[in-house]
Amino acid sequence: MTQKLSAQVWVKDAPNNGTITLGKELGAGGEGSVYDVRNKPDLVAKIYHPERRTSDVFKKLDLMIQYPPRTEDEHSGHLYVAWPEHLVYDSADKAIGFVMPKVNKKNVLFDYYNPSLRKRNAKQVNYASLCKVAMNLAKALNELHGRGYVVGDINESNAYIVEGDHVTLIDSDSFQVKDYQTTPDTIYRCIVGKPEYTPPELQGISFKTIDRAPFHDRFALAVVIYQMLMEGNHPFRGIYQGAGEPPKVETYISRGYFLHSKSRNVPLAPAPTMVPWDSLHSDVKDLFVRCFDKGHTDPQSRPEPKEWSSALEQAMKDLRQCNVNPNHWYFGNKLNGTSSMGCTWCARPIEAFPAQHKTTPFVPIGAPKKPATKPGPSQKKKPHTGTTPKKPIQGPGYKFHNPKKWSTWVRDNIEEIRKKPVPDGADKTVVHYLKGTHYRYKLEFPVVRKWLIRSLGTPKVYRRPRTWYWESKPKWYWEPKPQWEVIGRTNYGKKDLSKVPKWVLKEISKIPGGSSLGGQTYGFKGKRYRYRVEFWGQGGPIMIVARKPRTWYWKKLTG
Amino acid sequence: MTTELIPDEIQFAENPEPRCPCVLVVDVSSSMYGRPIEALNEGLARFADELSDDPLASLRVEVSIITFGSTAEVAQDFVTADQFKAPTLVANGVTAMGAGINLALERIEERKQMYRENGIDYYRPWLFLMTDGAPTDSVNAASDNLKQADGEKRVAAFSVGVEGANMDILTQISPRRPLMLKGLEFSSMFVWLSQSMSRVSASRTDDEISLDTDGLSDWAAI
Repeated sequence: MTQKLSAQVWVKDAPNNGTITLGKELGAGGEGSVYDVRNKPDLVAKIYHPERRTSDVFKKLDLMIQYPPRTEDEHSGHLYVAWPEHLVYDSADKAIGFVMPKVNKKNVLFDYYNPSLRKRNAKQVNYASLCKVAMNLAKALNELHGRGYVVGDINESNAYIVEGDHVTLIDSDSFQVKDYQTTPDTIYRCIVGKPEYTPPELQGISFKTIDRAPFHDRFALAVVIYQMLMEGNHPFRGIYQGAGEPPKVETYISRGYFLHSKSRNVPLAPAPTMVPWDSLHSDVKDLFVRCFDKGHTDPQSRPEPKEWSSALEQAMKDLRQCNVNPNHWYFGNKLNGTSSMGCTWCARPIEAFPAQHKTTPFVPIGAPKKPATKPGPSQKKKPHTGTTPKKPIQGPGYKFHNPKKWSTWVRDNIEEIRKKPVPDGADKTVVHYLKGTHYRYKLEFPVVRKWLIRSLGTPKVYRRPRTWYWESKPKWYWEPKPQWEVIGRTNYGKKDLSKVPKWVLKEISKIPGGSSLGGQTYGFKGKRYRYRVEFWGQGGPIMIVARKPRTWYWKKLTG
Repeated sequence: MTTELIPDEIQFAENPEPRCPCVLVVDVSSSMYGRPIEALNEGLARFADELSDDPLASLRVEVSIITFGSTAEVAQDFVTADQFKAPTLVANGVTAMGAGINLALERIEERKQMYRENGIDYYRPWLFLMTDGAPTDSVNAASDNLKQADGEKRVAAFSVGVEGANMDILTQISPRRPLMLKGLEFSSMFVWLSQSMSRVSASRTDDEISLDTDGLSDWAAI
């Protein structure tokens, strides 16, 4: 069937009005199958089963294509939702499906929040990432609600997490769509949903028979956010305090048995292994209570997506890093107004966020270096065939980077590049790109000619903050705690002490015993930095000098 | 029996998803010796594969295997599908079906108790009975227990007869009409079972049992 289809389907209103070739089947469901598009790799096509190709389906899709919401973030260009772009027709000119942008999925929501799946599929994730995903989900939903769309079927699998903890909603063809041009409005319903994400007023009702409202979505949103922030627990599940078979989650929801209810007597107790409710940020807790407690009788009062995103954004500013495991981020709320709670994650029976050994270890001089990160500009944002022109990424651009401020890492990379042969055809400049932790670097090497030999001269270096960094820094980026930074070392006679201030070298020379020491550490306090000198090895042939900003200075830097 | 024991508390903290228990109660009497038990083992391996392909089901479906030959034994304690590795069963002995059913019901209740103590939601457990003969022990009490449990919606019990099974007795024992396995189509049966479990675990915590009747004809003669 795929073969037959592939030669014949075409997209009517695409710029080149062209035939598309269906590729590999990516997935199949009850409604149809999703295929790669061979000649448009940034698109996928969903082709409905013949019995599902009803006129209503295509009227709905037509409306969606005509009136898209804002589907992408204005800064990062990332997609909030995989929105239909064109209808796909067969050779008889009958609509059979649609194309939409292809989303490079990294994970689905429950890969992040379920601790055992996270261990397998998303090891790098920490609590800050979970908060960010929750916030981004709210942002995506906000865009849709703003344009009168209702998702209807928000659940643990219906959103992809892509690079940078962004969220892209999928299955957009099941959304509820309203046609405002008819009188009365025609509503194309969302007929699917999962009971554990369904608000009390819709429990037990067939989705085919009801029009959904944004406040129904808001209930599901709050459930997913709860699951994100509470290690996969559900706000309406707990230890049943009654006798007999415990009721189902649907029953709990329809009765308003929110696990942390303030206004109801709820026959549920939190499981002993649960993340404590009080470890949540108080603003976030308030929103949950409003959604599940007050919202039970007054669905309109459920917090809107933008309330969630701003509350989460604020809350993230209060995240603290744990002293024991730097991958633990927690809110550290005040207990009884005085002492603050310790690290939420250290107190768990399981290691939810294992430490990531990312800190650069000491590399002895002359040790083989890892190859530099891939050069070349980012390939991420390719415009795809859409009708709306893509906005260029706005953000701080490259700025000249003073050679005096080059880090050793940049210097090392420059040296490595200069050792390589000059590419053929380069006669004036050669450009290389580097990806640092916080900045992207652009290195412009002049091509120097001496007789017939070409080599690379000292480059001009430009840098710009990395997308995720500038995007998030002004709002909630937390500064990492000051770390020791190695600024100089000696290793069996080799020396690299150019960055060590003279007064420190002087202090070092005063150390009694000098270089015959091994396994000893000395400290000096400078104006801005603390310095640490370590002697390693028998007789101290290795010396490491490191510095770290002093606390008051650090506060000035970050505050 | 050989799987690593993870303390329950840890297990449920790592994975608080609702559980969908599925107990296979399997006849391993000596009449299963040879090709039948081999086909059954292949089917179990297929079952493990199919379940782990569905990420949500692999977190929610918990598999347990009870075997009955001369005695009833736990061949596999409850594990979530992502950790389930199909055991290799060996045929030997008579057909202590009554003991098998009772043990399965007991284990289900124990497991449910554990879910409750840890605040884990669960779907109605499935009990899947497979036999190729007739019980050699007293089965009346077990049958009553089974029917009662099914009637009270504490379990959903299904039974499957393999060629040679005494279908009259099986019909008397089971709360639902037993199905007859076509040949040794254990693999198709387990594919069907895993799809059914996936469906149950993905959507509704319904009381009603919806059998996927379309896929049934692949392996069952009705």
